[in-house]
Amino acid sequence: MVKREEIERLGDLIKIELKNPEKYVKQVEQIINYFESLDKLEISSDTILTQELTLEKLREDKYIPYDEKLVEKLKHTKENFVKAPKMI
Amino acid sequence: MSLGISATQYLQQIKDGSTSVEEYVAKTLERIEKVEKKVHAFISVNENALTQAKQVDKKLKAKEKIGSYLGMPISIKDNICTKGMKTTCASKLLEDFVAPYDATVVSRLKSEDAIIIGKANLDEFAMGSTTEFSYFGPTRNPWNTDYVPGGSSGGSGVSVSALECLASLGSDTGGSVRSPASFCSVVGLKPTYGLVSRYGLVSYANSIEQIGPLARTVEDAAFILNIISGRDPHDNTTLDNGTPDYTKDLDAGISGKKIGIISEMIGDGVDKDVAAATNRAVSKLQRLGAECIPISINSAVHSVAAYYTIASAEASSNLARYDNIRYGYNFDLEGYEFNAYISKARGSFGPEVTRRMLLGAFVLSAGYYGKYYLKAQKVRSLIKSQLDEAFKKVDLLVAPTMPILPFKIGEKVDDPLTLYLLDINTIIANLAGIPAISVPYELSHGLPIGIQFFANTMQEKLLLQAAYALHKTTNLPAVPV
Repeated sequence: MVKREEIERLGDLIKIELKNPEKYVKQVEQIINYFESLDKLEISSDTILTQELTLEKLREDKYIPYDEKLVEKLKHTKENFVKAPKMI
Repeated sequence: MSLGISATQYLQQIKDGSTSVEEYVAKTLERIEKVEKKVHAFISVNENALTQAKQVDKKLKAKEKIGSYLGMPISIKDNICTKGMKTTCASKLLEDFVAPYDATVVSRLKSEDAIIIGKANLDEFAMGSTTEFSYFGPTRNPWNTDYVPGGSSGGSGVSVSALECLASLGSDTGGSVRSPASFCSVVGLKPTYGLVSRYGLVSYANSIEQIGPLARTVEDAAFILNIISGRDPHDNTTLDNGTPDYTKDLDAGISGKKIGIISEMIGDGVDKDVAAATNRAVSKLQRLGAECIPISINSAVHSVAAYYTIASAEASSNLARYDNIRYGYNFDLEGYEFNAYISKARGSFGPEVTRRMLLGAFVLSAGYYGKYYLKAQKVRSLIKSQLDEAFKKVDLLVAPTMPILPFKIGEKVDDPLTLYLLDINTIIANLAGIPAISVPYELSHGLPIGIQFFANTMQEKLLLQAAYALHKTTNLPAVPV
């Protein structure tokens, strides 16, 4: 059973203001109930797929200057800085 | 000059001078102007396309060095970065975002003188199976505009099907190339994980997604794969494929090949017309000399739960970066505390993206991790080992791409679980990293049915040969829109 408070807590965690948390309560519950089949599944093997990446073919670590002023593309700026909402 | 030709035919016509790039691109733009009102495949159209076409013609005339695409108009899903053009991911959060660089796949196409004709509509951040979850409104199926085109690369599928371009690039995380290919009657390929660079693809679920071509013929899909595949220093997960020519020996046939029919994908829950079409396709494969046997991949029944657990978990992490501060939509900072601003701005994510991030946060929460996420990873591994076993017995696997026919827009939009279950036949390829292709096969009540082949890792050549053989036997009518 998924509770409204739980959805609101998750909304806080993922930093999304939920306009209509009630709508998600039912839907998330229905989907999580479906996921329950995973919990019931008995899998003897502990193997998990991984992809091995080699460190041999790394590209050279060199500075590539951008040909345009990216700062000008920022939404909120002050002088040459990114402007953010106040922290406190 | 007809727009309804394959990319291969286009190249021939340009080479023999029976049409010019400018003529073809101008006619394509006219077509876009005419049908977009009905289908809405594009989020933006390249305003410089005609100028670029003229430049290619000029190069041709002057016999200058020219790329192999000869000005071919190609659409790109709008979650793949294009320098100087908007890349919105069909989200309000990126509604006016212009990428400062090209994705590797885009720069490769451009270097071959392809023309990026426009950016194709999708479900927001590629999360969806119907292209109804776009901030800019749904894309419609050209075979019947009351119906969904599949998704999430719906704009890509429709743009190819409705003759608004010659081919398209989409991305496939759980079937997002193959679903619209099937619903719109075009070819759609999901390559082996790592075969195509994801550099410049906006991340949704990195461990399973791949960029793939949508085209009118299997040969065209192979032609595009030639250019976009292979090692990329910008994506360390890419594989060295030795750059083979995928268009070579396409007509090798499938005589003597062993093909497994996945039992779990043609039984319960499959529409009777889709099942009947699949059976006819199997008979045809047999007549072409293949040996077809039923094969069970019983872990596939858990694939939807495993996929949505893994994809949601990765999505909730990947989409954390959108804080609307450095880039985003116009929303004034004043009067908000830091976290309150971000939460408020992110409140503009659409319902499906929000749902998946909630699910992702849920399955990764303390106490639930072992129950869902870890189990999902084990199911993923089990699917892979069952497929490995299957490919010891057969060369290829076959199943319908989608379990049902296209359905009406709005019909299932508020029923997420029903929509998730539609991915049942496509997901295993993503979870196991193997290649798969959807081939247009039949129409039922005027709506397309696609047949899907799977091959083992890096067996694209074999996959394309089988798809080519089956596609050659079909004779489908022209798109009605």
